[in-house]
Amino acid sequence: MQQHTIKITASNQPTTLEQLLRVVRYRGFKVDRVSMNVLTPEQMVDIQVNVQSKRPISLLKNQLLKLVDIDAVNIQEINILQAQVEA
Amino acid sequence: MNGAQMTLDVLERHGVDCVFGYPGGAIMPIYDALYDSKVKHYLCRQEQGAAFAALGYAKASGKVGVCMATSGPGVTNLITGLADATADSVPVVAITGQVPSILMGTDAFQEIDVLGLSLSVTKYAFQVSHADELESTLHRAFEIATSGRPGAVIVDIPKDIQVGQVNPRPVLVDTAPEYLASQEAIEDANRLLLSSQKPILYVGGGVSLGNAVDELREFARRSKIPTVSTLKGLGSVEKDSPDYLGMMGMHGTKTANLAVQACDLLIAVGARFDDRVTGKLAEFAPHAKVLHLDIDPSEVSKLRVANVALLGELKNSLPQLASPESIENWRQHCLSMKQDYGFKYLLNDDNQTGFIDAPSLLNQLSYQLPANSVITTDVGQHQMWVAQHMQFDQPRDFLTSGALGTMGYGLPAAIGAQLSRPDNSVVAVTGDGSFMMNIQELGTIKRFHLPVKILLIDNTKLGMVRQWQSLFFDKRFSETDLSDNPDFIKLASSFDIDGETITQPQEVSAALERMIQSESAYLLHVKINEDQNVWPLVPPNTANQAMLEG
Repeated sequence: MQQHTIKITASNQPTTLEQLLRVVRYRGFKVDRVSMNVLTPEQMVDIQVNVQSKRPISLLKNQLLKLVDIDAVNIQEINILQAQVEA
Repeated sequence: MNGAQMTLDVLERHGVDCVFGYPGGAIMPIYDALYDSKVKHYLCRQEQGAAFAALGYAKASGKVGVCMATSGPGVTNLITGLADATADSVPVVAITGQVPSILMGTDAFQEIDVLGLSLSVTKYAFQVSHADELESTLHRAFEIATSGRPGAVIVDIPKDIQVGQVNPRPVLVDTAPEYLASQEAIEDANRLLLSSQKPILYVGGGVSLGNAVDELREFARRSKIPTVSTLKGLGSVEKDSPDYLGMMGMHGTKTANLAVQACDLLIAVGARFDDRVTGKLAEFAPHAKVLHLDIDPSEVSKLRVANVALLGELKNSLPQLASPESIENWRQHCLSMKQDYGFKYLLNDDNQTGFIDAPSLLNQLSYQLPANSVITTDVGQHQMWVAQHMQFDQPRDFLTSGALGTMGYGLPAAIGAQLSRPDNSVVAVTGDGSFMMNIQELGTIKRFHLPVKILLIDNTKLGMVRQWQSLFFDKRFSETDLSDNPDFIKLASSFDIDGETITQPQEVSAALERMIQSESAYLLHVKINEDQNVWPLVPPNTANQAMLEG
């Protein structure tokens, strides 16, 4: 099971977060943590999602980039030992 | 001008001359505006029929299909069609009425959460929250539905915005930039091609969607690479090409499947390695490197890792591909298999079985139909027989629910196709299970005097499910008997549709001709043996060379 942090920049639409979480679930990933900040100007948001799955993260990244409201997706692999220390 | 009038005005500006729909409370202002509009509305008899008619219109014409429905059950009925459009990458815009803004979120009469309902089955879903946004939202809906990989877009408009005053203003719509493969990737692709000795060209539905049929055919002619097609790719390859080996996959030709399993390079063009194509994925084309051409990055390496990917417009990438130089032995091998394993047909007096042979019937239909006729299908055995035994001039001549596999697609899709191509013959090939799924659309055919032909292949069974029960469930025929079907000829007659029933092979040619020559709608009801099955069949989770041949 790999853990990843996904950092997303997206348009601030009513469905952005809902659609993002739907795609994460449907493509076989489990959400551990999520946070969202509305940027100034308010048309954009920053979203950070920690996910885990046995599936390659590249598959999720490609699916997220297809979403009309998502501008950028950056992936960071979480060092599991570090994550345990932080917990 | 109110919001409803502006909605129709924007449709006109996008070249929409007809829409398919069904009125109801929350969309009444738009229907009121339709009363004076140049946009012609075709009343279907259920919203799912309207969605599939829009799909058929879009697929047969290459334009955007537009459908509309009211809130609540209107949208839930529409949603299967929108899911089908998105799954098969067909550009459809759905306009739906919503309860007034002040009632939204109160569980009002005929209220449903349209965004929540539609996010997973549309390319995008809009709900208009201010009158000022209406015009730009509608333009954006058309842009999203048609750009990149097309799909369905829903625009949900609360009733108060439909009746509220709006001010038209110039709208700047971003045009999607043309998306081209890099030169470096083209060079990598050509290195693969030039080192290949046993290549296969694997053609999917993306070729037609990308308007790259001419470029695909030119590459196939120039390279002489043996070619196979998916269900959605049918019609893209020249039907008379000696190097065309037919459809691949679960019900593919023996030649196509054996060639793919033996190839050393698989050139996937607008295809997505669907499970019905690959069989057991781990054993699919086991010796092949993969060159994948697609517009959608998420399809590359999703199921099968690509050695080289050309991401971008197919019509730009295909002309830049090199022709392999030493494939003649491989080509001759494929031609030889095609000769040995071709389908055999039982025509008229050659057939002494006492039953009409469905593959021969459809092959005969293919020869008797005028050029550029349109065939729609439903889903099941008849769909696979059409795919195996009919030939198409262009991919827009074959309309089927490929990815979602929706029974009930064929009849309303034929209505949309007939309206988009009034000069061409349109035949809905269906089964007795599927036909009943959207039978109410016979009313639409009657109302608009559409000359849609219906070829009903009737085995009084849910044939494909029954075939699987026979093969994989110990012949326990659970809930697949339809021997209490209605009298289809009487049913059609009640909608003023003429027809006839045939049961014998010797009746086929003349009956097909009567159907084709009919100037109005016609039902040809063909009774076949309930035990006739679709062959070859690759059992689930099995490598494609291990096909059952009946």
